[in-house]
Formats: sequence, C-alpha cells, structure tokens
Amino acid sequence: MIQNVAFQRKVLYLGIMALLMIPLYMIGHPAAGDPMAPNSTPGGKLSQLRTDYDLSQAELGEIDPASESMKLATLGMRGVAANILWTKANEYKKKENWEKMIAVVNQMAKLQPNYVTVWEFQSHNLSYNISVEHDDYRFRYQWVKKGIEYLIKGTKYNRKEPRLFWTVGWYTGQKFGRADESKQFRRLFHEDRDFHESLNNYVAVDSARCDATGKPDNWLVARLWFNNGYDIVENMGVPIRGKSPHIFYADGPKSRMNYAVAIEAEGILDEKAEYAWKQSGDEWKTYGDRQVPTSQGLIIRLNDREAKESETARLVKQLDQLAPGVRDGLHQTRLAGLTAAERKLHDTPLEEIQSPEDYEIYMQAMEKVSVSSRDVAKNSPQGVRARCNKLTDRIMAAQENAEWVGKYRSNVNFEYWRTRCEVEQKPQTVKARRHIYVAGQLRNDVEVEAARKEYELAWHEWAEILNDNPNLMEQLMADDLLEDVQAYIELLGHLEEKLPADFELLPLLRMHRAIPDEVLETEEPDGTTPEPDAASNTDGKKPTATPDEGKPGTSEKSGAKKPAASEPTRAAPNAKKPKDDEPAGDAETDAPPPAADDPDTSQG
Amino acid sequence: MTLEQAIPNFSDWIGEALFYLPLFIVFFATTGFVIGYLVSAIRRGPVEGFYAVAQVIGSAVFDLANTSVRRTLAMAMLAVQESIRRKVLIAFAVFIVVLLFAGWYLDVKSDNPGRLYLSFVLTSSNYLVLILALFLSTFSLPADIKNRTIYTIVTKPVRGTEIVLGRIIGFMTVGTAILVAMCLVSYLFVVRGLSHEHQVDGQIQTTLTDLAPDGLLQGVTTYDAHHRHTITMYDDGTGETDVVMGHHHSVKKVGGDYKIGPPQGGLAARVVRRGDLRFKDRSGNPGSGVNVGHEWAYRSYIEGGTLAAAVWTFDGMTAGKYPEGFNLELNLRVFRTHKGNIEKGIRGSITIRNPKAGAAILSSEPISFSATEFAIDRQFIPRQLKAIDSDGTVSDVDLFKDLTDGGKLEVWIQCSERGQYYGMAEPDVYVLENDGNFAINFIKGFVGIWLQMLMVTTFGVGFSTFLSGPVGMLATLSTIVVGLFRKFIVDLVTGVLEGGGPMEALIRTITQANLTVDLDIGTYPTAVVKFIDGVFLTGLNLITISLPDYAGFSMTEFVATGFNIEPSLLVIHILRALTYFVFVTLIGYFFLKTREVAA
Repeated sequence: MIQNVAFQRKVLYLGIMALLMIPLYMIGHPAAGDPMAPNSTPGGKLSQLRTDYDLSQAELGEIDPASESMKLATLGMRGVAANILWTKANEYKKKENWEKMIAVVNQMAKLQPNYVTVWEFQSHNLSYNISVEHDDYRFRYQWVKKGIEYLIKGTKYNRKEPRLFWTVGWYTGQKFGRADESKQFRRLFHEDRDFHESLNNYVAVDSARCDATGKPDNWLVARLWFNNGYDIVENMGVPIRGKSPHIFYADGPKSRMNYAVAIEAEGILDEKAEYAWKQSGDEWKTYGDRQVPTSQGLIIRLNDREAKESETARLVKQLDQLAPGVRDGLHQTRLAGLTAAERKLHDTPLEEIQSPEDYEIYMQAMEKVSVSSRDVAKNSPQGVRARCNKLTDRIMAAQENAEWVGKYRSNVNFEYWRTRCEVEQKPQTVKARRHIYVAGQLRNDVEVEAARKEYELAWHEWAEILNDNPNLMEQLMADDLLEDVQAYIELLGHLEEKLPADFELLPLLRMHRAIPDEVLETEEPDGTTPEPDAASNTDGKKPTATPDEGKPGTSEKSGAKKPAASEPTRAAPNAKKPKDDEPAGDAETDAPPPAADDPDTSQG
Repeated sequence: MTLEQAIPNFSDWIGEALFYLPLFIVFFATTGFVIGYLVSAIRRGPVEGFYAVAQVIGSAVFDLANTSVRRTLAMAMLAVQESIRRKVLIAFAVFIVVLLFAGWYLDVKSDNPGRLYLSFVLTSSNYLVLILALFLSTFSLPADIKNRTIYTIVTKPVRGTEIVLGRIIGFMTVGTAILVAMCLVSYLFVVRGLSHEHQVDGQIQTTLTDLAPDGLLQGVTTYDAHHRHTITMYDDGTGETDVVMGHHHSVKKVGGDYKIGPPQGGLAARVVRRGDLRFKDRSGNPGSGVNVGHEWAYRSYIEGGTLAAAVWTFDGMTAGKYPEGFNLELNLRVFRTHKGNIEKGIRGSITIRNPKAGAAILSSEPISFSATEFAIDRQFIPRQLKAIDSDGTVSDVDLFKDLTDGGKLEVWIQCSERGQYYGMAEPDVYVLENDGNFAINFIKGFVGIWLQMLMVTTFGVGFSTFLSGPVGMLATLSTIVVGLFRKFIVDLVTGVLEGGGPMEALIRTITQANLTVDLDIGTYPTAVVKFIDGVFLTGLNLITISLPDYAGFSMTEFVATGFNIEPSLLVIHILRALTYFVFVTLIGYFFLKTREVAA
C-alpha cells in the first residue's frame, strides 16, 4: 500500500513536470528554418521577441561557444563574475601585470560580449593607458595594436554597433597618427604585414595603400573602418547612438585629409599629395551633401548654406518689391526713436567704437532699428499682406536652415577644411610646403644659408596663397605655418639677424599675436617705420580678414560687419570671436573619444 | 616580469619556529585539557570527569606508542578502495576536459603564453585537487558511522590513531596518484602548447636600419604561433632571434641554409642570488627613493643626472662560484619627465663597489647600459674590470680580489639622464647563478599543491571525527576559504582595507555611504558598531592566524615567472604542513576517542 502511494506520487510529479513542459516549450522553442521560407516556424514567444528586438546572439554577432559556455557556467551570476573580473583587471593594471590583465579583459568580454562599453573602455585602457606605461615605442605600438584587435573582436560579436566600428577607425587613425610617437608608429604600421593580413579579414587593406610608398597607411585604413560604421547605419537602419550624425560622418573624409597632411609631413610633396588633397576635397563635398538631422528635427545639408543665404536674399527682395518702401519707412521711424547717444553711436563706424559700454549701446541701437521681414509683412498693404506673410514664412525657413547649417559647420570646421582642400591641391601650395620641408632638412644639416633661401621662397609662395585665400589666415596658419615661421626666426637668430620688417607673412603673425617685438626689425630698409598690417602683400592689397584685436564682440568668421538696415541682426549681438589658440569646432573631433568614465586619461 | 613574492630566510624562520612551537604545544595541550575536563565534568561530575580525561590521555599515550604500521596501511587500503568506489577518478576526467577546452579561454596571443599556460595548469590542478580532497575526506568517516559499518572496524583491534591516520594516508594516496597524473598531463600540455617551429622568411641580408645600426646580417622568421622573430646572425655562422612572447630561438647556418632551433627561455627555472636594496638620494645621502605618483608604491625611483642611486648588497660572491664574472639581471622601470629621444632607452650605469669603507679600491668604472622595461635585461659583469684609484689613475682590477669584502659586493645602479628616473624594488635586480631544470621546478610547484592537499585532507578527516558529513565539509571549506583569503582578512583586521567589519559594511551598504566617508550614525551608535566589529574581527584574526595560509603554500608564481623554487622555501612549507598534520591528526584522534563508536 505504502509502495503504491509512493509510486502514485512519483507518477503525479512526473505528470506535472510534463504538463509544465508544454507552456515552457510554447514560450521558448526556437525558430526553425529560413524565416523567409514558407514552411519555417517563427519559434516560441521568446524567440519571436528576440527576433523582433534583434536580441538573439545570431542577430547581434558571432556565436562563440566559449562565450556561451562561460555565460552558462556562471549560473546567472554573470554580472557578479564580470564585476570580480573588472576589479581584478584594475588590480593587475595597477600592479603592471599586463599578461594577466589582458587575459582577464578577454574573459570579461566573453562573459558580456554584447556590452559595448566593456569593449570601448578596455580597448581604451590597452591602447591609450597601458601602451604609455612602456618606455620602448615598439612595445607601445604593440599595445595600441592590442587595443585595436580587442575592439575588432568586439565588432565580431556586435556587428550592428556602428560606434565600435567608428572607434576602431578612431584608434587606427588618431593613436597611430597623432601620438607623440606618431612618426615611429606610422613607420611600424607601414611595415607590419602580419597586422595588415589580419586586418584584411575585415577591411580591404589593399585599397588603403599610400600612393607613394605602396604600403598601407593608418589614416586610410581608419577611413575604411569609419566607412564600415557608416554602412551599418545606412544599410542596416541602425541608429547612431551617442554621437551627432554630422560629427560621426565627418571622420571618414577627415581621415583622408589627415593622410594628406601626414604624407606631406613625411616629405611626399608632389602630385601624389595634390591628388590626396583632391580626393579629400571630393569626399568633403560628398559629406557636405549628406542629409543631417538636427537636434530640432530639421534636415539640413552642410553644403546648403550659401544656397539658403541667396534664397533668403532673393525672397527678401521679392518681399520688398511686394511692399515697396515699408522696410525703409519702418527703419526711418525707428531711427527717429533712438536717443541722442544711441543715434550718435549708430552713425559711428564700428571700427571706431572703443569701449565695451559704447559697443553695448551700439548693439542696442542696431537692434532697435533693425526691421525684420515679419515686421515688413505686418505693415504691408492689406491687399498683399497674405502673400507677404507667406513669403516671410519662406524667408524665416531659409534663414533658420542657414543658421543651423552655420552651427553644424562650425562643429566640424567645415569651411576651413573645404577651403584647405581647395588650396592644398594646388601645385603652388605643395610647392610652398616643399620649400619648407627642404628648409627643415637643410636646417637639420646645419646648411643655414641654403635653409634660409628655401624659407624665403616658401614665404613668398605662402603670401601669394594667402592673398588669394584670405580666409585661411585665421586657422590654417595656426596649424603649422606659425611653427615654421618660428623655426625661421630661430634660424635668423643663429645668423644674428631679426625678422625683416617687410616680412611677407607679417599680417599672419600679427593676427595670431605670434610676433614678439624683439625679433622684428623696427625700421624699413629705407629708414621709415612700417605701417602695421600693410607691409605684407605683394600686390599692396590688404587682406580682407583684418585682425580684430581688442575689438569687442566681432562676428564669428569674417570680422564684424555693420548690419544693413534691411538685414536681420539676430546673430550679431552674441557673436564672439573664437579664441586664437582654439580652432573653432575642431576641439571635439581632434580630442580622443570620451573614454567612458575612464579615470586614467590618455597620456599618449 | 620579476617575482614579487618575498622569500623568508630559512635560518630566521626556523629560529622563530623553534621558539614558538613549544609555546604553542603547551598552549594547545593546556587548552585541550581544560576544555576536555570541563566537558567531561559537566557530563560526569568533577572527579569522575577528571579520571575520564586522565584515562583518555593515558590511553592516547598507549595508542600512540602501539600504533601499528601494518594496521594503519590496512586502513589506508580500505580508504583507497572506498575512494575508487566513490569514483574519484572523475576529478581527473574533469581536469582532462578542462585542458581540452583550455584553448577556448587562454589568450594564445599573450605576450608570454608560457606564463599564462603555467598559471592555468597549476591553478586549475590546485583547485580541483583541493575540492577532491575536501569531498573525499569529510564524508567518509561520518558515512561509516551513520551506516554503522565503522563497527566492523572498531570491533577489531584497531586503534583510533590508526583509523585517523589510515584515512588520511589512504586519501592522500589516491590524491597523490591523481596529482601525479595531472602533473604529467600538465607538463605535456605546456610543453606541447609552446612548441613551434619557424623558418626563415625571405632572405637574411645586411641591414642598416635603426634596429641594427652596426649593419648586422638580419632577417625575419615566418609567422607561426601568432608571432615572428627578427634574426641576427654573427660572423661565426651562429645567430639568434629576438625575444618575442617570452622566448627566443638559436639559429645556425648549415651550408647555404639557416636552421632555426626550438624555442628557448620560455620555460625557465632561474637560480638566483638576491641582494638587499638601499637607496641614495639626489645628494648621495641615504634615502628611500622617490614616488613618481604611481598608485602601486611597490617600486621606488631614483632621479637621473644626480647622485641618487639604488644599491644592492650581495653576499657570497666568490671567485669559486663565478670564475669568469657573473650575470646580473635587471628588470627596471623607467619614468620620463620629458619625452627625450623616443627611439632610445634611458641610459644608466652599473658600478661595482667594495662595501668596505676605506678599501684601497672603492669602485669599478661605471658600465653603461640602456634600461629595458618589462623584459629581463641580462648584463654580464666580467671578472676583470677597470677601476679608478684614489689618486685618479685607471687600473685593471679583479672583481673578487679588489671589490669584495668577505664575499660581499655592492652593485650601484644610477640613471644618467637628467629629468628621467629609474624605478626598482629589491627583487628587480639579482645575480643569475644558473638556469635550473624547469621540469624539476614544475614538480616542486606540484609539491606545493600536494602539501595543500595534505592539509585539506587532514582537516577534513579531523572534522569528520566529530561532525556529520555536510557540516564537516563546510567546516573544512571554511578553512580553505580563510586560508586562500588570508591577506584580505589580515588587511581588514589591520585597517589596510577601509570599510570596517560586517556591521559597519552592512550599514554602509544600506545607507549607500562609500568606504572613505565617516560613518554618519551618531557617536554612540558608531562606537557600538565599531566595538562589535572589533570583537568579530579579533576572533576572525585569531582563527585566521591559526589556520594554514593556503595561498602562501602556492608556488605557482615561481614556476610561472621562471624562478627556481629555493629548497629552503620548500622545506619551510613542508615543515609547516607537517606541523598542521600532526596537530590536526591528534585533535581528530581525541575527538574520535570521545565518541562512543571508538571508545
């Protein structure tokens, strides 16, 4: 009897277990067959949800049995295990036990292969923090490479994470190309055929060879990785997370520019450099044509600013034709309403305003008298008011678009790079750079006189280039030309000479306040005191971008311009000149990527 | 990488041990007697209780004196049979499975795969064997008692000592057999895993790159096992590769071909002579070195271009031991305060000095070198050196005749470049005596594991004499956990680790207060919490220092980093393990004696 009861109980338990299996199976059974095939099954609810949200490992990336078995072996304590490993990695890093550190980091990634931050943080650790702990640059190179390889492994597990692909591109470009040891790193990268072979599994390294050396270039390889990231966003419909689209898409084309800069610095100064800049310019143009959503939801294209500005001007003209004399009438009325002090400053040329207080009054006056298109429409004759309002809407839309483009352009230094690409692909610019390169070589060989001659040839070329492209004055020169001029001044110092008062790049030096008095001759050769700013140009023309030292609140790019009565003045009062030592908008793109709350900032 | 583990001096250790051991025996015997008497008195009354205790002690003396090796071995045989019946070989099977899948988890591209593989096999063997010993030793005796099969033994003329010893010996026999198999398989795994061959890739040709400024004959090997080497050939037709992934190869020109030998140096057992380190500051006065801001203050730094120096004093340096001179191995760190020449290492000098004040010849001429980080830099110090006399003349001197004092010799290391620093700790510089036998060192590493197994088995059998199987297992596991995390507990007790004891930690967890802020619960509650934690931690500390330091018995780091395990260290470990064995066996015997089954 007792045996029977026990037996019945066992049967009951087994029955309940079997029953429970049915809903479990219905919820959890996997999908079978090709999803597109007619006889395939979508699987249980969990399986369908995984497919809907792209959560299955097969959707996310490579299925690794080691990773899967490790996840299972932790019996649901994966987070705890990862935390312990993270602590151990920190400890090993502190104690400089690099082999164990990287072993732990690899285990951590196997435990949480789809946690993108782990890949980003620890690869930064390897490439930036551990590499600089080594004194030998060859070891440093190996560790930068380890970080990149680690990230590449991450892309295999997460093939829908454009950020990871972008980061591989960033490290490959910036860390090899911008570190203190960039000269050595680039050389090692060129020669590292084993690394090229392994990279070939992911990007077409053969298409990233330097035209001159025939060897893969880190900047061009970086570009391929950026492009892979772009492909994911464009072809798989994956959103870009944690980065503005215009910045995300800028780094690919910029890599080609960096490549051009790098080969020129290495002495490749011929038609290959010109071609590199031409390609850069083409890519930058394509980038400018890309549709970019703004934070307000407006879709813009960086190339559109000029078109939108001319559209605004055309529409304003149409408005004024529809409501003739309204704008002027309003302007005169408002002018009459100004106080005596405001009126006085209003009539004073901007260049003559000295004190900040006066400037403030001036700006207030300008704002008071400015007449917007909306004002014109409001005061237009009754019969055309509806049409005026419609025109005004279009004007406002075009203005808004142009303003957004302006803001986004400044983030990536769009105009600077566009102009630079245009200028650098010219044979004259390459020639000027060649003179400076040769001068540097001669200086190193202590051929002082020959170096001086090369420098002078270079300055002459540069002066002509700047005359033709005055907007380069603000930033291009700050990049490297000032350093070259400084080297020239030092060279003159060795010859016990000072910089001649008729030095052709004097306006540039003055603009960047890079000319201490003691290095400049005080008199012209004929004994006269030189006019500031006027000495440089061979054709006697003053560059349009005049230095605006000491002037309060000048406009962003081309110096302050007195607004015309018919022009809206919305941006002018707040406009500030960017600091001389900070190229506007470039700071974000040239700094290392945010290292996910990494306390150890990069030293390299 | 060097070994950071401090090695105790045997004579110091044995002196201390012989001083404390009798005290411990007295304490142990007295405590045992008092506790035994109290328990007995409660159960039987004060007088009868005393007689009972005296009887137990008397019979214990008798049992110990009459313990039969034959009967003990018979008991051990039973334990072996029981172990085999309980399918202990599964542990070995698990180990084989772990090794089979090790490639999934081990980083084959590691900078030093040998170190990684060795750490892996030794650590996995260690944990598996400890788990095996834990389960074998703790369940056997309680199961016998529960099943009453113990009566088939105790009804025969078998003594308690023989039962306890027999179990320990039996389980150790099985464990040893498995450990030997693991050792053998591990050795093959490591050696086979690191074995590889290279061919010459392309041609060997004269190079004038920055890597070989002298225009040596150079080439590269093929890319195998995730790496390739650079080959440098010498005029005599021999050559060698650079060190990559912790090893190098010898190269020989045979006819028109180059033959590359097997990997060397990856599996080493360096026998070294260590010195005592002291520092001189930038003015040449005794100092302590500079902290350059590293969180881990293990190494101290000396400033370049000043009188700062790191001075090692070596003993036992005689011409008989080093007839040609000696190899000095350096593992220095570099800290640059300015970039300097990136392509060149930071220059420094090694000077050999006579420690005797007023010696005729005080020091050799400085020997220049460039520091290499994270790799062992071997510098040969020849027997014949140049030295500057007190009158400034340079002369040839004999290293041992002129620069040692009773076998003592000083090695001064200085950094030559201003604004740059060298970092070092005592084990970073040593004299290489010879390259020992790796296989023997590997076996010594397994001896460390064997000793741990002995202690776990002893504790397991000891606990199983008076606890049930699961409770005995938990108790033994606790000794393992405490032994493995001894440093953590000691740091917690001594305040090195912030955050307080369990009460304080619980309050901090609930209030989300981090470890560094003061406990913000008021003065009196804080005092109460600290008091409770203090009592707990003191108790924990007493337990911790009484239990074996399992982590300290592990000699994995020696084997993995390629340093010979010094015999004195091995002897210290053996003596420690035997002490635990004797005492825990005695405790186990007394507990078994007090149980009815064996009374």
